[in-house]
Amino acid sequence: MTDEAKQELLNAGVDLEGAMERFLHNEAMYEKFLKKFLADPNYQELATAVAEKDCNKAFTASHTLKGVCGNLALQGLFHAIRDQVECFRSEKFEEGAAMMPAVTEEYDKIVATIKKTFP
Amino acid sequence: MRRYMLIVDDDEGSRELLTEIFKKDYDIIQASNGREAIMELGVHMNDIAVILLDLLMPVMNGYQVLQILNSRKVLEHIPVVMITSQNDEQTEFSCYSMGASAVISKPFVTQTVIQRINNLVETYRSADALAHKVESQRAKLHEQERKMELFNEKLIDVVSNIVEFRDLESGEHVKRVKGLTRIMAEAYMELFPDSGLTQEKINVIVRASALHDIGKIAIPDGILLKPGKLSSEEFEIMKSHTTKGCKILKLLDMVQDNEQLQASYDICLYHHERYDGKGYPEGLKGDDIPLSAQLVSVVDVYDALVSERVYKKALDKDTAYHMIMDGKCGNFAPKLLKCMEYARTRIEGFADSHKG
Repeated sequence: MTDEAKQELLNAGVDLEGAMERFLHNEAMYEKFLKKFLADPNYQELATAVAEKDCNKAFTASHTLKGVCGNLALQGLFHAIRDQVECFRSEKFEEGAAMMPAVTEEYDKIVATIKKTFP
Repeated sequence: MRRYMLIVDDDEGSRELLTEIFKKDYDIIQASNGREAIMELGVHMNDIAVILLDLLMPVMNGYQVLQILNSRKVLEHIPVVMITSQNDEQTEFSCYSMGASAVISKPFVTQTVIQRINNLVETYRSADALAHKVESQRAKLHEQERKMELFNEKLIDVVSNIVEFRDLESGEHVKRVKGLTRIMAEAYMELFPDSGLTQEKINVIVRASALHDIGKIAIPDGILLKPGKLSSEEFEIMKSHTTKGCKILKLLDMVQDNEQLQASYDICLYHHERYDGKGYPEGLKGDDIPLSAQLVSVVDVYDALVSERVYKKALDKDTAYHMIMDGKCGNFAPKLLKCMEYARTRIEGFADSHKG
């Protein structure tokens, strides 16, 4: 990973230090997992579930997405989605749904960063 | 040694990350939900060192997996580490109370996770090794105990045979008394279940029966080996083989446990008592005579009748049987006669195959 790439990730709110620890300082492995994140279906599933007002599905998808963000140390998206998961868990669907724009913003931001960093 | 790690998580990324982390220490098996995990477990039960288990999964979740592992006693042998992003106290408490060995919340710190899991596996491996060791030593101990018992029984038989040799009888008499005592005792147990006889007690009586005439070793040749009828003085000396036997038994107390010592003592002392009270040495009557002595008594008489002795020829089995049943020889409890009748075929078969 180049220094520019690392800077891009840091600028996007990625906890690079935490990520490196978790991935045993194996940058290639981390890069591989970041690229895989682009194909992760959970954001789409979350958006669909919210549109269909399906609280259960929304919970499952947001919960999984939270786990993925946590692993990859995508802090921006992780923090945005953490509170949303708790809303869906306690079946406060409307409250959780209202957080969707913020989640989407963070998601788009990190996806754009990853695409730009690893074209 | 168990060397597999089972990683159960519906998120492929999480499985891959954990696989990367642990693949140098373990052979990794992956499962994407609880049901797959249970299936993998069925195949690799004895090779899995540790299970990493996610909580929220489709098809079958982590709690359900824990429950199944618990009911199948798997958790005694394989530690389960929950790895979950559901990191609240209630979740942690539930996991521990259902038997999880550790709960690690996502996102985790890798070095800590490695250390924790390896410690846990090491603990289980030590316990496993210890359990194996205990089991193999227990088996060894059991084997030695068995050898010791066998040795003691042989020793008792040898001592008993010494008497028989002097008596000019073949050593077969001891074997026959033991065999016939077993047949009679088993018949007694079958016919009279309330008697308290068990296979264990029968084994004790049978081993002890070998010693019934041990006191004869203290009877002078002139009396023991006299072909003709004994004078009343001689007969009194002959009768003392019962009480003398008990004294000799004390020398053998090292090779018999208390239960068997008691049985051999009873048999030695009372195997010439009669049910009507006209026997010796104490003239005990009826069921005051210990059952072990009653059993050996009838067997001893039967064997004497069908065997050749210095003072008599062998009688045929039919005659011997009727002499006992009709009370022409000896006097026995009605229950014993019932046993004799009940086990007649077995008794005669045994006598045929163990002729002296």
